[in-house]
Amino acid sequence: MLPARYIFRSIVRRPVRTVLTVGGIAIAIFMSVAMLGLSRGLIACTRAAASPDTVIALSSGAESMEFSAIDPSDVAVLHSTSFVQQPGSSDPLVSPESLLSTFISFAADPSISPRRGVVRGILPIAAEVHRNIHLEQGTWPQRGFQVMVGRLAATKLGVSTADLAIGRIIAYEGQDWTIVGVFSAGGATFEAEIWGHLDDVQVATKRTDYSAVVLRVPTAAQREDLIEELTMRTDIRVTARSEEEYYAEAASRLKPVTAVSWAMTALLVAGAAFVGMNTMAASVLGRVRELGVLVTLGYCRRTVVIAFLIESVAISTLGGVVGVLAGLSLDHLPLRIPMGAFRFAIDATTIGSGITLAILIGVLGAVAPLWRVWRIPIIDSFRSQ
Amino acid sequence: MNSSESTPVVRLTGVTKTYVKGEVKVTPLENANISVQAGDFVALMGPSGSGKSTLLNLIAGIDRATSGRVEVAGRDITLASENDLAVWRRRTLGYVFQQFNLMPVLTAAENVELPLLNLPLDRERRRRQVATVLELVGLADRADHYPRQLSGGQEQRVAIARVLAADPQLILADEPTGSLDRESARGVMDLLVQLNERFQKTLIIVTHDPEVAGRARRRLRLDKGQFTDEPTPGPS
Amino acid sequence: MTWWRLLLANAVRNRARTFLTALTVAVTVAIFTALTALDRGVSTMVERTGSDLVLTVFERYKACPPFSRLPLHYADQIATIPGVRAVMAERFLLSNCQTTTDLVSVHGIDPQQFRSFRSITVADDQWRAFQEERGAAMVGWRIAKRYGWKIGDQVTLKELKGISFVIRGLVEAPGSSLESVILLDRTYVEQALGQIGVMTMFLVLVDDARQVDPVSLAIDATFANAGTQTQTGPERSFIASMVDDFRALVQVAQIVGWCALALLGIAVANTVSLSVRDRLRELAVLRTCGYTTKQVIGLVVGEAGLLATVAGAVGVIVAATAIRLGGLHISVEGYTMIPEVTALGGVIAVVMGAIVGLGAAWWPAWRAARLPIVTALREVD
Repeated sequence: MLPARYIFRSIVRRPVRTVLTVGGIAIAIFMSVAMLGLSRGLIACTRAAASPDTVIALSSGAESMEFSAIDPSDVAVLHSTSFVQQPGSSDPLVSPESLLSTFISFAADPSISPRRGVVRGILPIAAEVHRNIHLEQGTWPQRGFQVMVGRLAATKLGVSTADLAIGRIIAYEGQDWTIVGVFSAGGATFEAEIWGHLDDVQVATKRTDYSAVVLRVPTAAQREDLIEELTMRTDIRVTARSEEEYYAEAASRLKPVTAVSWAMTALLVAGAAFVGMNTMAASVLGRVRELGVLVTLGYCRRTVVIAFLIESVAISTLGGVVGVLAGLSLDHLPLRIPMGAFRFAIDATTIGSGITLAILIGVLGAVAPLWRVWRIPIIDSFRSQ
Repeated sequence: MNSSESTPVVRLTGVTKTYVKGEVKVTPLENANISVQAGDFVALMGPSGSGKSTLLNLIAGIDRATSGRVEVAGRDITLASENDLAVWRRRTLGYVFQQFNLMPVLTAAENVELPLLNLPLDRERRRRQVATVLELVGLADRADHYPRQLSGGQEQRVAIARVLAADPQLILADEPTGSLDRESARGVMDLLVQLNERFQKTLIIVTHDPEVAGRARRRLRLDKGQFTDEPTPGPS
Repeated sequence: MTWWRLLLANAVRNRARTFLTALTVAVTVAIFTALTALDRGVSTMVERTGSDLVLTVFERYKACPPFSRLPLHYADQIATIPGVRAVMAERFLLSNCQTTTDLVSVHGIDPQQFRSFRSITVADDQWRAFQEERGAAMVGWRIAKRYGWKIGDQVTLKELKGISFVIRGLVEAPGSSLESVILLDRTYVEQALGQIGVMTMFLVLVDDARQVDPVSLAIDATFANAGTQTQTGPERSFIASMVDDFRALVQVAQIVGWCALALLGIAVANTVSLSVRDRLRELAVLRTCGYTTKQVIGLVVGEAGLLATVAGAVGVIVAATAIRLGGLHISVEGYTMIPEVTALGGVIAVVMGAIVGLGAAWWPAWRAARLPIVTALREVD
């Protein structure tokens, strides 16, 4: 095997082209990591909304919560269904919820224009039903026009975290609300929302129907039975599914985003691969005589070919590492989207994909010139140049 | 023409050229004084690395003297700028290389036309000039051939045609026959001699080949940084 | 021989290298074009879907169609306000409000009034059938194509409360979101939903542009103390506000476009570096022939610029074709946008690519041209 020093020196022999190639690959990998992190983050946020043992009921025929309107009478029925009683707890684990997309204004700072926000009216029992909600600061909202805000609510509204600090007053639906708490939800879409007491929200919006009812049911068998029961009953008009299924379906609707991310990634990787190919072709062709000499000295052709391959992959991997490091700066970066907000997920899978793509670029870059080197008769290598 | 006796085409006064190669300081020319009159045919000779190519490059303005004065075609080019030199070269001199240095992606005619693009000639005049010089070097029928389709001798003749295109008064050649076989070399030298005798071009050739040097009318031998005139055998 | 010949001659010197560089340029310009097209698509949708003299009356505070519920009788009061030429109630039904590519959107409208609010292209006999028949629908041609619907088809939308209708005609309205919408008689939609008298919004046609602001204020003042308050404004502002969050995202995505151009620059700089390295001696010889440093740089940079321009143009064409053939679209809050590559957008993309290419070529070209001629002549690889 050729000494590592030879491979290393060959790389630094032409600093300009090495730097440019590393730079080009770094850009492509950085963008790929960013796009993959974006689509993974979106999907993760959506899926994280689901609590493991919960069922979500929407009004019949509604595909999403925005269009669901459950009758109050149906809610009463849901309270009395079996399986929602938990031994040791007095209240059935039933959380009626009211979703609202509304304009939020800031009493303290009129210079901030009204922002589109998502409000959810909940009862205190929601804390027991949605196990992924954690209070970070303050308290849950009680009656009296109180709200708690998710960690990403500021991003969604496009304001600073200070504007949504505890004690601040926001206004929506013609009503002032005091912020009493801040919550997190394991990165789920809930974190972009503002949660108030259900009764207050209903009063403010003059609504009597509910967007959804979420029920916590301990075992899978019971959940299936409950879902079947709700589907069969004709006295209520709801459709029920496990929350996992509901949010998984919401996540699957994001497939086009993933598809576009991969398409762009493929294009950028191809573009960088072409740069790598040019560089390697020039490198190898410029050293064809060297190859001939090495073979004459007793190195078998395969060794030389492998050395070139290592050289190409080393350069591309370096570019990949630079790109990934740059991409890491985006990790957990919050971004607002219609109806919510999410965070970039530059996780192990994303990073792994980035490095793999970089290695792939290195291999692709070396293929054509290596083929030529493998094939060229020794005597011709001496004659070149 | 009469004043040419007093104003040489090339005059070097006290010219020294020093350069650094790795850790060694090399001085191929030391306090050299040379004078070439219009219409001269000079051969520069000497061992390898003796500075003959350096001298040629100083005359062409593609290298700079460390000290001294270089005057070519009545102009002091010692301190002239790169760009000024490039423009000046257009009508003043032509340089013939050992490796021919034709552009492989252009045909013979196009190679010859290259220097003309910088002169105020219209397309038609350029075309005629190219045809004329190609005819002169005997390659009119190869006008549309690419360098790879020509033999070494033919390539060099195209290179000479390229030099002639702008009709300069001074032609410099660095080992023009160095890459050619005996027969092609003779053909190229015949051409160069013709340029000097028939067209009064001043010719300065660097060579280590005594047969080439034998055809010149004046020989300068370089030794230890100094040029000495060699006596010319027989009538000039 | 012309300068063009000189520029082109060197392109074929190393065909593979030129080709690969052209590919990178084409790919990166294509990406840049696509992202600009997306932004353009949003603007076009807002511009074409809305009309100059139309106001939207929405429920106050609400930020999304399903949450806006206005009583039908408001229309009567709005009609009496001076400056108001016509009022039409609309009932929307959307599959969801999110960012999606498979939005199904139903607009319940008044077939008698609709065409005075919207300029659409329909066959008159088809529109008549729509007006006269109960349960008839006019469908935007894009959504019909997406689901393979034909005129005469009976369609049931299970994701929209099982609403069912017969397609009697196709609607064309270039650039407008309506091309992806199903138009039904509003009363039919109300019945299918089992909700009579609840409207998503009112469209108000005013006499002239000067009436826009006073009428908006007057309408909101009329219902200021009512149970359900209103928010009225020009239609285009309303639509723009609906897709505002998405537009913010698209603008962030432009960064990808700039990175793509950076990659273009690197590819060109790399190729030019490799290329001049092969030609050091040749470029020096040009200088001995009387070419100035500037001319030599110009030659090298010119070659790069030509490559970048031609390859960039190819990239634009490929992007435009892919977008059109792929039928790419995206819907937000019930509004569907089509990425659009305009002639101007394409030209700008090509010019950007060319500028980056020229700039990137300059430094390696300059380095090569500045080498002392003697050094360059001695150059062996």
